[in-house]
Amino acid sequence: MIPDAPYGTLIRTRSLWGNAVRRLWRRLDLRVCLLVIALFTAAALWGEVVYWRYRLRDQTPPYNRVDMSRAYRPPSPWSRPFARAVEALGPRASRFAILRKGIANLFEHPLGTDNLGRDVAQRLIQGARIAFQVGIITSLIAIPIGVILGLIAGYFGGWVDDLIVWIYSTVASMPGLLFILAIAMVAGKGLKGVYLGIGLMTWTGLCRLIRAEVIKHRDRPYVTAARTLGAGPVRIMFRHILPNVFHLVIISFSLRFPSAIGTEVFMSFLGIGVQGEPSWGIMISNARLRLWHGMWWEMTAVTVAVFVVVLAFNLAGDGLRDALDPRLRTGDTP
Amino acid sequence: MILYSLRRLLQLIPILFGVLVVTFILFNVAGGSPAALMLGKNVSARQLEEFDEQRGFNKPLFFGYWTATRAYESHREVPFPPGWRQVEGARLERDRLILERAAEVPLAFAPRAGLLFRWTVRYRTAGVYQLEWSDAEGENRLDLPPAPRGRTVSLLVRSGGEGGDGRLRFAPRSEREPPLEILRLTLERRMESPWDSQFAYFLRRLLRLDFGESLATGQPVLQMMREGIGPSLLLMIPIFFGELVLAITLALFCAWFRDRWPDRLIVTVSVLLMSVNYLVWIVMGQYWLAFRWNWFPLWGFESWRYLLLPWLIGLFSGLGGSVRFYRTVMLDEMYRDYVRTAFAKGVPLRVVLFRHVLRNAMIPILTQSVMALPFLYTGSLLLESFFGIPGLGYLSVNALNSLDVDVVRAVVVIGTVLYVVANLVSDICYALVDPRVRLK
Amino acid sequence: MGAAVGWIRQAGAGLLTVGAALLVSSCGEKPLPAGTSTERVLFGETERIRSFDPAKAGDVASALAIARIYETLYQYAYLERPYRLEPLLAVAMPTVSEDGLTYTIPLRRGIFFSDDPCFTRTGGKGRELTAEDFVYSIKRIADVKNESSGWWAFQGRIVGLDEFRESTLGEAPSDYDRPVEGLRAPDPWTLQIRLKEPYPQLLWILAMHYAAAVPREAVEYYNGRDGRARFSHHPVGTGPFRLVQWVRNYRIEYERNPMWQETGRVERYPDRGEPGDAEAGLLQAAGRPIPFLDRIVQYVIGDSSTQWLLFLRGRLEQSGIGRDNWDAVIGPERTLTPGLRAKGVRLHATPTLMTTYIGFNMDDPVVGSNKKLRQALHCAFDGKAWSAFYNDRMIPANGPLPPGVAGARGPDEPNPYGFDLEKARRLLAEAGYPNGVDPATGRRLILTVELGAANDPTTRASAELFADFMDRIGVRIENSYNNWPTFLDKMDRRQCQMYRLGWVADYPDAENFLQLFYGPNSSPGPNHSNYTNPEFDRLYEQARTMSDSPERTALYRAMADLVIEECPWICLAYPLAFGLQHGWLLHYKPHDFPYGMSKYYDVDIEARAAWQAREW
Repeated sequence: MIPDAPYGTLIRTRSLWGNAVRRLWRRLDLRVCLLVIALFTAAALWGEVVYWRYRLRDQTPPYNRVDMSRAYRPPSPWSRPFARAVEALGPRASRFAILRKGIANLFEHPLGTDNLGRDVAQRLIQGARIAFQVGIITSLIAIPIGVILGLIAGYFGGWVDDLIVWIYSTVASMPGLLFILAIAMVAGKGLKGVYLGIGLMTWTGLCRLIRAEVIKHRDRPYVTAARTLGAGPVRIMFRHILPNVFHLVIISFSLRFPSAIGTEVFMSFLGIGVQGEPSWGIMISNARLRLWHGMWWEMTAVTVAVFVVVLAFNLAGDGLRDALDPRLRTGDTP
Repeated sequence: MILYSLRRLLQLIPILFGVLVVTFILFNVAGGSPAALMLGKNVSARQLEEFDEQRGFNKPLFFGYWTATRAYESHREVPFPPGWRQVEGARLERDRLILERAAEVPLAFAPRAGLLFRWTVRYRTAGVYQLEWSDAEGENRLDLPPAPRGRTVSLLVRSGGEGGDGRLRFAPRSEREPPLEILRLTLERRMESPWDSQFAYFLRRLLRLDFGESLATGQPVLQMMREGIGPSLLLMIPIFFGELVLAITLALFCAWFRDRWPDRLIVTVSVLLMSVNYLVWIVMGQYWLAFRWNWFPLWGFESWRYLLLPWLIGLFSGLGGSVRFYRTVMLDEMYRDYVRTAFAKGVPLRVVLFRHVLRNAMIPILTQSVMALPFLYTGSLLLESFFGIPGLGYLSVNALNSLDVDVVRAVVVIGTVLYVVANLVSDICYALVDPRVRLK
Repeated sequence: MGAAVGWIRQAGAGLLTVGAALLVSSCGEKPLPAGTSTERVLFGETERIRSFDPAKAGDVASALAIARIYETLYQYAYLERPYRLEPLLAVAMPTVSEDGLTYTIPLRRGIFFSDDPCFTRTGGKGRELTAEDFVYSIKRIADVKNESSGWWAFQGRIVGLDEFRESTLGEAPSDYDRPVEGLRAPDPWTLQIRLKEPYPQLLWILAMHYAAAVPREAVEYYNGRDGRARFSHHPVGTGPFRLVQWVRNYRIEYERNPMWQETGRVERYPDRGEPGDAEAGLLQAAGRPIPFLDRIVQYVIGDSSTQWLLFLRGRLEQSGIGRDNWDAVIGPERTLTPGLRAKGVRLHATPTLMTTYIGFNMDDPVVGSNKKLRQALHCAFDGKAWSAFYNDRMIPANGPLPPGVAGARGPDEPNPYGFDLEKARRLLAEAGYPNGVDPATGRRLILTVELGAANDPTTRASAELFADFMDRIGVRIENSYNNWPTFLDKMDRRQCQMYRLGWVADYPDAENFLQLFYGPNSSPGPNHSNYTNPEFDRLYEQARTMSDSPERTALYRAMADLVIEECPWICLAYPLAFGLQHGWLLHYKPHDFPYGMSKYYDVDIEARAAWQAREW
């Protein structure tokens, strides 16, 4: 590793992964991205907690509770929180009380309410929950298919390879979005359709990459050694080769996440996605109807949320790719 | 070279077959019979069956002798058709039917004469019952022996003739028999040939290039596609070439200023553009540019002016990704040895860029473009449906929404064929340019 | 924001030229024909048209389109209320025989079909209409091969027609020369119909598009040639307009039928209306020859938001009002906001002959056998709040029959199972679910409501509101959203536990609503609740052959009361039709059966141009 280190010195070698993490962390913009992703994850998990809490109690969750008296409230900072506090408490109230009430007003509906008086901020968090689920679950469908088929095709070669290449060429030749929509229609409305549609149509890229990589590794000395030691093909594939191509999985995951979110938004907008729960696509379609008479906040909130999350994933994905597999980069710094 | 092309051509056949199978499974499982949709609000089961008969929807899916009939339908959700409720002496429970006296199986309608049917009964009883039916061969009778643990019986019935329509009757041997529990009762129709399936029907029609008729509009699908392809191409070709030219220009610009601020700026802006959701581009474009500022028509396809806004949006939404892709391609070339040699020889940047780099980068650019061409034909699902451009994308979205199976299938199949052919063309081009590929 | 906007402006202007240059170089495009500036063109919006074949179309949009091109024997008098039929292609109302079974209808002379290549014998000139055309058209409805959605209107009614239908089964081409005993043309100008039993609704049926006159030449010419049915997009009729262009999913264009002028046919704008029509300017054109419009262009715009923006931009003459735009458009007293009114937009709000409901599937083991449960749910439904959710665009329902048909309950006769939470809780407990909990499992009762075409946010929000109502008595509702075909299929297969639907009258007669509860009409017939009650069936069979009389109204009322007691439906509301019209759309009056009414409309072109130039 370090050729001229004195004999006996403890050489602290860094693995590919350790190295990658260090390289990622060195860059401020990537740190910000990771923070955004962490926030997004936290919001999604919090959304999950809220969802299940009300689900298990058989109650209507607050983000779905209709309250027409609160409809069309702009975000609190735009609705004179302190002036309203003064109005509510009267001119004689103490400054402290006014301050407290004002701050409470400020956080009452930080992003406003929609046409049914539902809090936009809470719905946004539920939207994050759905987006996160879509990203994770479609990956859980697509990545195992891609990895396993890729490994098998690359490792065994021959007719197995031909068969798998046939399968993925078939899938890859079909018009993607149209097929995702068609699968979703078959699976019925709701998230199940979205998961299956995206999951079943997007594994081919990864499969092809892994297959190509495995073919390169197949005859490397370490594989031959393992084979000589009597390891079976399953063990060789998963214990020996997989770790060496796993960075592809990570990169693919980080890149597919934002596009899965985009597709989900699109599908919900068309009315195929989630039902009865707020997702970002549904919020956009709701907000669009009311833009013309001045309800800008719901649209702005969703747009910004989608943008920030997707941007963070895009940047982080690029960073990860640069760090893990320089050959694949579309790099920002050559 | 010819051998290579032929080999590639042969490889297409299994792929096409795979696509046909997948599309068929998807749509025939999904759509089922569109009879209910087509016939409107006042229909009878008989009309539905007649409709299915006319369009081949009452055949088995792939292969088989037996197929369902609407005369007597039983599903997992509704094991006994509701006609039983009108039958006296029959009691419906969640998963079984209890008969306390003689009862006739209620049929939604009398089946057409001359068909062969199979009744399958799974029953449980301590008493002795009889099955009676009259069919083309006359009056028939079958004893159902006591079966306290359940027993399955099936019998063939030919409808029509003077005898009757094959209705089935359960009759107790005497007045005092214990009740008969029917656990399952199904009716299937026998096909003349097991190959006479929906899949075979589908393949036969495809071979004749007959994509069927749209269920929603009654038009031949091929004609609908002919009408739709024009607007789609009008929309997509300018976007495609505009984006190509703009992206390559910007990528060259980046290569020129590589690693300096103009390059960084373009890369950053590209990533930002990429992160804006497509839907947001459209919604905002339509609202601000068309509605509020009235620069563009809002919706429709009356003249070329109506395409300006979709062009603009299509161009911008795709630009980020393309610029990044072409920039990578350019920069990859920039770091090749021959470029370094050229620089070392003192060739100016301008010449290197345009003579060496651009020329060599043309190969990936070309293959990329050829591969993108088939996607032009489906148009853009979203752009077309938002701006009311009656192209293939709009057609597909509409067809998907109304489960217009034939249309979606045709779009998918033709799209796939185009893609596969483009793939072939690009491979052959590549092999022409780069002889190493052929030898593999 | 300011900077970004400026940037977009510049980019937009730049790209505009780029785009134009590209267009010139890449492709020569032919703009679709649109009206010239002096033409009177009506721009409208429509649902997708399925077919221009009167025998096949079963939806409102197609029926409207067909009625522009084809004509029937009778039509609704445009301005008069209550609805009354008047002769259109007939000379007078029919003479009915003593026993009510034979209708003799005299036809107008000098009515010509528009020119079309299908009239090979006359070299493409349109020929004169005769009674045989009606005989032929009704036989077409009966032909199995036509898969007509209008067969219900004639099934079992006309002597010999059902036998004719039998004869069309199978592979052989249908024989239209086969005589039908009850459907004859004794001479070219007389149509005679013989019925099996009295059918007082026949006149309404004869005003529907199913009974429109279709020339046999056209059907045979367009359907014969290569086995494809092309007649459905080559309409050949006698009506005021003819089809110019039909781009499916996008645009339909009609123009004035030149045949009217050639043959000297003159129809006039009615000079009789109900009180108030004169003040509303509806009688200004009385006696003037129609149609006024030179051209009608209609677009298929799926998206309600786009539709609304187009209306505001002045590209559409009329618009519905989405629930979400309501507060911005309509003030608290259900009148137009001053802003829009000052600009000349008009609002029409009229009751429609429609009932929306949530039906119970009587085959379902949970709701079907438990009358108390259904009644409890009915009591828990808060009709007022429901209407409020729809911004009072609906009248809370108090029965299956909407006001305006015989036998309907008056506004002062509340439904005995109207909104009453206490009663709902009591009934629920009696039904075996105290507080909505199923004692067998200890969990709350969960019921599923199936909805079709639930793409728009309003439907979803309203479904959630219904769930909220039921939540108050402890019953949990799960909404299942389907696309329309799946929804229909589920209903036909009786897989819905509860389903939400509405029924729009085919003609203004209570019988049309009550058939929805008639046992033999169960799914896949229109009785999707699969409600069967021998008592009801008996009353229905008795009433359906009776002509309008107090006795029949009493029977209708009794049937409606029976349905209210048994609760196969939760009657939700009677929707009002709200529509906005720009001031330049003249002579517009809303109608429940507006088929063929566009011949009375007119547009003021200058006013429209002025609006389109406005800034927003």
